[in-house]
Amino acid sequence: MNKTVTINISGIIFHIEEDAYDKLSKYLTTIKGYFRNTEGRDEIVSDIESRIAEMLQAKVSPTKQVVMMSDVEQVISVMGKPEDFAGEEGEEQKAEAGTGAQTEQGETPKRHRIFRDPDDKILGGVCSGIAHYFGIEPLWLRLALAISLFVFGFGFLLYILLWIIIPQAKTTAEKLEMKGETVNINNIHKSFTDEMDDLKKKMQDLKNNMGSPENKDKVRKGVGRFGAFLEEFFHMFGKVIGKFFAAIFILIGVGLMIGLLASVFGFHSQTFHFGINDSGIGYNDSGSTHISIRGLFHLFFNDGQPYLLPFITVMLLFGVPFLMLIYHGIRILFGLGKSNKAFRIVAALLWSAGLILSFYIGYGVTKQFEEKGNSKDSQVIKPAGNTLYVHLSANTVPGNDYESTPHKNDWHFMRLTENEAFLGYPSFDIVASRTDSFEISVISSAHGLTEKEAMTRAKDIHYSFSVHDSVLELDPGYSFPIQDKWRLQRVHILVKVPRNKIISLAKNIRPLVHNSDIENLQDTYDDDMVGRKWMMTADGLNCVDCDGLKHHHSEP
Amino acid sequence: MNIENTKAQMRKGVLEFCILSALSGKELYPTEIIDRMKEARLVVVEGTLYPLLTRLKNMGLLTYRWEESTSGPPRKYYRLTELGIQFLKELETTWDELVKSVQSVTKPTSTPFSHE
Repeated sequence: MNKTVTINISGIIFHIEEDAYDKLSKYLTTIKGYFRNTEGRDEIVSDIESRIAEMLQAKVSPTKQVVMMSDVEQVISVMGKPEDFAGEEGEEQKAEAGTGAQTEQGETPKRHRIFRDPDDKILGGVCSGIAHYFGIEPLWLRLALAISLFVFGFGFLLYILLWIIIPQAKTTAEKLEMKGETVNINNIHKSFTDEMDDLKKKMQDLKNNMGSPENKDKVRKGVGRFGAFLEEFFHMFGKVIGKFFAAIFILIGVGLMIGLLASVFGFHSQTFHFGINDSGIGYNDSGSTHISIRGLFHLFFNDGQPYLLPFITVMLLFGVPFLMLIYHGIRILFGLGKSNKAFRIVAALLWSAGLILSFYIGYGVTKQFEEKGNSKDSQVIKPAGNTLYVHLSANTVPGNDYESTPHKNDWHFMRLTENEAFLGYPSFDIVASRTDSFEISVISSAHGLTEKEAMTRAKDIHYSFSVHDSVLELDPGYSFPIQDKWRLQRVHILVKVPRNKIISLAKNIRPLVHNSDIENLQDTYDDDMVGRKWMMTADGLNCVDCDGLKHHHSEP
Repeated sequence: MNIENTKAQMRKGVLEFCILSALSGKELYPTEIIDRMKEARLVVVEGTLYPLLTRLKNMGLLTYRWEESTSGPPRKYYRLTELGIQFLKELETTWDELVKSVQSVTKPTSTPFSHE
């Protein structure tokens, strides 16, 4: 028992065995391919189809209704293979017949696919295969690969990925396809214009068919053809769009992957500069945008614990999706068919492992923040006059440029050196003093696994200010030893002002008072409090030089 | 360069001429033309003929009309155009000359120069 399919050749219906159908359809594809560059290809092909229909019709009868393999073989032998046509056409045609002959019955001649070259390989034949596809010397690709190995080992990953994706050329036919017509802009342009010409012609045919009253059958056929044409058109259009996106996928994937590798294996960055605010971690808009994951880890994880685990987690969690992006991009771009199931499963497993690891690590890290500890340091200030002037000291953080760059006030800064981490800014508040002298308190706080650990960390925090007579100079940042790790170290500065004394806030302490919510009678925003003088009254802080400044109004 | 190729090249040269000749004074559809050519052992496979017919038609030497067939798809009946008839005449002259020339080269003894 054999399965049959129903086909329509030149408007005649045939029942044909499936394998016979495959053979016939391959044959017709080969012919189409052979006449690709011949003027009037469609006409020739339709004449040939019409003749095939005629011959097949002679082979079926009421008692033998199905077209069989032997029938198709016979028809093909009468009609001849494209290579047998050679000699009838010009030299160019003959050259093409050669390819037609080699690809043998089946596969469209000159179909060009990407394969790994087993005959010219160092490892997997990836480079030579790609070189064949683009018609370049494999040496250049090998050189590029060797160089890319130094880009944080990215080349290695890419090579393995390509090795998995690109199939090896096994049969002679595949090897020929591998070396087929080189893909370049000219070819793409050519195949595109070919398609467009085809399209134009089909439209013209359609119009002619509609116009002529010859027979209704033809019109119907024309409509059918138009449908087929539309289908083809959208198919082609979809393909182009698909490839476009595939190329973008690859670019994005490669970019992200290199970024990831660079941040994991890259050098420890001294200009590590990013911000932490209430809503999370982000880039400081004025700082460098390079984040070293290694630097982060060093700051985050206890020294006893190897960084290997977090590294692996990050690689799995981010690397796997990036690689999949590249993988599918390449698959679509080169039309490599269905994705490798094993590869998909492995990727999914690796990613899940990354997810589980991240939860595990996240739990461990959370525990490190469980307890809080404080450390307080106070100093009485006795200015000569009634007024205490508060301002920010000039650069005290090594190599810092925060004074010259306009920070957004809610962004904090962080800077890492070999042994220390610098953080900014401390928070700042003003309260009434119970004595009749000014006083500054520096309250450091940190977190830790135990309260004792947290307190030790808090004590480790170094914050300096200086008092020169009536001037209080505050540092913009504080530091802690890196071996303490980042455990939410904070510094809060509390200035106590006695009754009827004045505190003058310089404009440059704006980043410190921002978000501090200092209570005052004017109910002024913190940002508007700087650059002014404030007197501590029985009711609270009262502005001395705020003429015209209304409630909740900003400076003109 | 094998012998088959040389033979094919020779046949190729005369095939157009033979097709035009076959159509001289009558209308034929491709299968009939092919049968004639096969009989004369000028073509081996039918596929050869279709591109040739299309080319001759595009050159304006042939034209065709559709005819419904009771036993298959509609057939294209080809015939010579005015241009085709002229073309054929020229080819016939050329052919005669060619035969003479070829014979004079290949069989010089049977047609000695002194004979003229």
